[in-house]
Amino acid sequence: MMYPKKDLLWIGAVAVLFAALPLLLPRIGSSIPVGTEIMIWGIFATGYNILLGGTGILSFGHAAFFGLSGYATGLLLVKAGMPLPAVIPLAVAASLVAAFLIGALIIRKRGIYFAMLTIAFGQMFYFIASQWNSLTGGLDGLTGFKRTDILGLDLRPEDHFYYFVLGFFVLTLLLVRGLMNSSVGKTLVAIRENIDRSEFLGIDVKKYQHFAFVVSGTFAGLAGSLYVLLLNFAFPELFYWKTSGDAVLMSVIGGMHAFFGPLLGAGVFVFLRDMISTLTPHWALPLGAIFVTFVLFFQKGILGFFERGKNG
Amino acid sequence: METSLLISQLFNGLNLGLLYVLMAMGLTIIMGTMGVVNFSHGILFTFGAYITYSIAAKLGYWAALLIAPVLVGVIGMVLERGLVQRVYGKDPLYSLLLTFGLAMSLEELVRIGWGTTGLPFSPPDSLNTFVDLKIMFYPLYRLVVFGFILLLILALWFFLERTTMGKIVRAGIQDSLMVGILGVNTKALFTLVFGLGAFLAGLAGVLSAPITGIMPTMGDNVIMPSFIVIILGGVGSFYGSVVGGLLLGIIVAMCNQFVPAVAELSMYLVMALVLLFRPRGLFGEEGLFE
Repeated sequence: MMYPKKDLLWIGAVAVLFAALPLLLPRIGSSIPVGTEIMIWGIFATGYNILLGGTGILSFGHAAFFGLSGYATGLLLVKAGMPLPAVIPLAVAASLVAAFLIGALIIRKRGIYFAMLTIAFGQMFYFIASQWNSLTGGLDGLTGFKRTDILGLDLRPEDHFYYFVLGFFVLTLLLVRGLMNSSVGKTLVAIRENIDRSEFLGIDVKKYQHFAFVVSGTFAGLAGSLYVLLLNFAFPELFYWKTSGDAVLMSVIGGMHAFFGPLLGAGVFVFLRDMISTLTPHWALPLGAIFVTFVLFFQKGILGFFERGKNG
Repeated sequence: METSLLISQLFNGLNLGLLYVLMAMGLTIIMGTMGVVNFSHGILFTFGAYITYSIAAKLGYWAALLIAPVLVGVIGMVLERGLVQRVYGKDPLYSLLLTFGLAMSLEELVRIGWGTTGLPFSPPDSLNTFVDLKIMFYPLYRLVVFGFILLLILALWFFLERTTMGKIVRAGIQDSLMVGILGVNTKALFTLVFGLGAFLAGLAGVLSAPITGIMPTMGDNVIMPSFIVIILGGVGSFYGSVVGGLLLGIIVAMCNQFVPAVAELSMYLVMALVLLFRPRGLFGEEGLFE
């Protein structure tokens, strides 16, 4: 993979910032798990944006892959008693396969029709998780597992797990940036900009769109696995369409045409929700209003607002 | 298997299906005309039920039945004029997120206004009884709802197929740009369509309140089936909504009775099957949303 020096500098800077964050968070009335959560949603949103901002496809069902991997993580730990180094890759692979199959079924649709199909498939997983009591614990969720250690590293303390997630987080940034810099990434952007012209150039558009769908679903899976390990708990809302909506909002709030946009959006989202929910139990009211304001007045997102005309 | 059980579940299914039809019709005309996936449709349904609750406490159910859907329709038009209208012509992403955020805020508003726990609500006394249908006893209220929605669907069909205004709405679903070029005030048309959709959602809420009770998340339970009805029937299709809605209602009710574990899941399985064999849905037209 090719990285211009500028990319490496920026990703390095973000990595250093997040490495230092655990020192800062408790001092501003926040906590380390909030930072962990920001990185996890950052992985979800950055990966998701390969599809949304990168390829120009709106999926409202990526919670399916987030939740699937999350539940797979919990189940492999509880029912199969497998060690973590095997659990995470297997769980992520489950999301990859699911994204491949669902993608194959629906990728030929366009626009809102496609978006509605993704919602519906996401909900299908939600109902499986909430009703298959004997396997998933139903609406109460799946418990009975705790993250332990991985290759000699004890993940139980909050800060240890934070740095464990940081590793995946930086890896995700490097992989996604590398992908978008590659010829494949450029092809995805070409498809976003003009589907018809891309087709005329002989690009197999559906194949590339399917690829973007699967890759973004896989990153959603990675995020889901880490999220369940963070909480030591898997619950049906992981699959819920509102969870998918959160990921879309993060990308849009931060700026879906800037590489760090979705990450910034994830940070703002998690931080705002955390802050407002300590002030009022009715946090959804102001949070929803903030989103509406963003959609109406800052359609290019925070980063798009500051760097007009540039493409990420 | 007892026949009476089968028939009463069939009735329940048709009842449920007709409620889905009301929801889906509103969604589908909004989607067809403005290209907006209205995520706030579920919360408009919820508003219908809660407004009914408040009005019924003072003026009785019948007054609520008349007033609440109209109020929800007006709320819909205000939302359209104030907010949704600003994102027409942009990527559908923005209208989707706008109504998503809106639904989030409005649902919380319901919790603030009426509390977070569910409220009990029963049919008006005159209808709160059972009818002897020879093979079984069936709640009178459900029969009345059944007939009422059927009449309403007929009225809607008449409006869309036989009146000039309805023809303009249908033309808008086909090609709203062209309708504007032909001199129709599309701004007013869009507000009207959104209001009509909201009215139907509110009405569905009013009618189902005595059947399901009232709770802040009740809209969530109907919005997904409504989406599926549209996928089944085909976007923008009147007949598709009717057939899709009834089909889905019956399937869900039958599964509820005989294989409750897969009741919710059955909807999605049907959807996947239809998509495999009829990619545009049962009544979907070529060219719309492809």
